[in-house]
Amino acid sequence: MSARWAARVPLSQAAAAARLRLVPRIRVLAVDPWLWLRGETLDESLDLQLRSTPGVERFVLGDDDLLTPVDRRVPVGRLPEGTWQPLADWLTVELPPSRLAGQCDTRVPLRIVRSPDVREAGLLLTTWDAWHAYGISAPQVRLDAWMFAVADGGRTVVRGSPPPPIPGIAHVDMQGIAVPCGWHWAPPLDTATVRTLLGIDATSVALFDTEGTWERIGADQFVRASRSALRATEEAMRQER
Amino acid sequence: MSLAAFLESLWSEGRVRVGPPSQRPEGTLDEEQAIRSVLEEGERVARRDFPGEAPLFSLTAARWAADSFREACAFLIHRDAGQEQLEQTLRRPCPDMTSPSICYSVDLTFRYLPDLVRMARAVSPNDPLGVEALRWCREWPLSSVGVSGVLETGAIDISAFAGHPGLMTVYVDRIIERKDTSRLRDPRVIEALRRTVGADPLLTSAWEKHLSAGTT
Repeated sequence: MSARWAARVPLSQAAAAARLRLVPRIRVLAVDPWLWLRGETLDESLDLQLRSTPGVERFVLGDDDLLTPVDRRVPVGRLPEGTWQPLADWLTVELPPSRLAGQCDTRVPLRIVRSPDVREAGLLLTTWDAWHAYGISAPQVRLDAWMFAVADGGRTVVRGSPPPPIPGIAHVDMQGIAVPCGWHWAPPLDTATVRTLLGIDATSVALFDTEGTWERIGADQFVRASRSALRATEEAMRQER
Repeated sequence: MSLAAFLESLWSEGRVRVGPPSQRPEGTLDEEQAIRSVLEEGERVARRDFPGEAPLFSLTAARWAADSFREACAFLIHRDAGQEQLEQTLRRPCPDMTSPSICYSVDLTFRYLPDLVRMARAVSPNDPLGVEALRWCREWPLSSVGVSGVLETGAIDISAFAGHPGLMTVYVDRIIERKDTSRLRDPRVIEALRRTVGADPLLTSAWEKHLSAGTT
């Protein structure tokens, strides 16, 4: 596992690449609508991080910068040309809370009220044990629809519609403003205004409970749902215990 | 290129170099150990993404598949080999009886069968290598999802792995990914597909016709 590699994520999800910022010698190039990443070597750890990055497409980088999707044999294109720069330079670092539970009890001038509207769930707050048990055996086509984030203590958020069929609190996910199903915020502001009020960026999720308490989950805290990502997370959590 | 290097290159870069058929440089203890290490490492990586508990890994079956696949690649490039030599080489049977463990272990290399068939067909629709590869496709249905014309040349039997939930999940994953509706003639597959689709409205609408008909 040492081949030159490339990957791309939608620019709209570029924050997801932030998890890679400490990996040395990754270079990036933004060519709308993609953020391209490239590297000269690929070890198991980096491979796993790439696999876990939401929205990522991975390529083997051949001669003349030909791009061959992983698990395919035929090149599908060529790496774009431009001024590649180190990922760490390209990313602008903010100071967000680093864990899911980092900003509990931040009160906002919004109330969470009962809602008669029927909306489909797009996010599930569940336990790590339930999600792990389901996810490592789940079909790939279902996993492809989900991302997940885990907090200390095992609280787990699975984002994607429909949510996995496991116990938990289903939330309606309206452009990253997630409220428990059957509830809505009042006054009925649009999501952009709610974001401004909460002071969160466009890629983060604001996870509400029925008390109106919310917490912010940064885009870089979500990983793409895959069996290997689930197993790696389980292994990391086991070591922390 | 040694078999170990062949496998590493196949799995990491998708490009391989092969010598003439049946000229295997392996033999020394070091080389055998290298092959074993590569196969075990490849299996370890595959196991990470396997749905649920993977079957036991059979090094013997994985080695047979790797050897056979490399020979097939050699015949793809070295076109001067005779048909008799090709058939003799590629018809060496797997040393183990098919079972979930064997299907899983063979699939480590045979999952690239669809690419091999496509390249053989590109040479000629009736290429002898393509004929042999298609026979492998029938014998190893888990690995050959997405290859057209498999069922036209004979029946396939998924009994060897149908009882293993993880392998059936892999099988249905591939059917969905490659839209290979020809594999939906077996009621066990229909049932597994039904479980996979579940209540997902998008999946249900895409596969509803096959689920309700139970046939293609």
